[in-house]
Amino acid sequence: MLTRWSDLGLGGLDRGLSALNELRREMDRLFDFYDRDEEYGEFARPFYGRAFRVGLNDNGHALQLRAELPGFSEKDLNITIEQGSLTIRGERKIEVPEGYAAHRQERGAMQFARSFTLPSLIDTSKVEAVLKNGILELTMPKAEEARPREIQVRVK
Amino acid sequence: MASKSTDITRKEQEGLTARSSDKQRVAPAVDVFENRDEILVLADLPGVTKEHLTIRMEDSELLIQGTQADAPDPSTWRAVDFYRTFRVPNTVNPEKISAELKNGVLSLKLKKREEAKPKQIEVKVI
Repeated sequence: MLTRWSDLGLGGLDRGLSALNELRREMDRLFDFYDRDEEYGEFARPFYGRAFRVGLNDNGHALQLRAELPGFSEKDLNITIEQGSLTIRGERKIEVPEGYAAHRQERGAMQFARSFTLPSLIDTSKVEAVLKNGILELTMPKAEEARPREIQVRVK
Repeated sequence: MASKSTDITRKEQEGLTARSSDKQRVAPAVDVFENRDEILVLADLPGVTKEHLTIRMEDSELLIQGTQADAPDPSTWRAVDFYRTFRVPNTVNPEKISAELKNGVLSLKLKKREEAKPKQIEVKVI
């Protein structure tokens, strides 16, 4: 892929890390990053198209997912969380506008549907999904019992 | 005319131009369509707002440059700089270019000059 997230493991985030990384790898596969342009030779598509990036962040209180989904409107997306599993479905149709001839088509139509296991318990009633300027931001607050807790040390 | 398609070609600029920011520069995916009146360019620019988008036409070269807004969590999301230039045929009237941004997709309409539009030739029967 073109831009890599910094490795979450380096940040010292130790909550559900392996699961989070696994989720990220799944997302990378889902969104079909192409970092193998040289394989396509002359007809390489060294463009950003279809390589919609996904970022995942754990700020301790919530899992935050961010995905580039240009050309998707809210009705093209379906997001469900059930039993600790997140499912994102989406479809974008690309059609040659009526009466036009196509000279170049790099922006692909895409359709996807996939489920993932979330690394933390989520308070599903507080999940927020915002789609703005082609970026989906999903904020999934952790359930109370999954949040970091500070333990008071008592001196005896 | 279909033959005009070759006039819009991507001009490699990477490494030749100074970067406008420290963000990684990427070429956005585009679709190019044409009918008798105009050339229509669609470009995927997720996360770019109107304020951070530059469209410039100079010496029949069209520049699209858009900077993605920074994320609140920059450690797991690096904003990028979209950048691409095109050679535009001189059938396009540079005064008549309109741009629209919706759902992270830029839609550019480049109107052709009146005299460049295909004309129907009346055949007279003598």
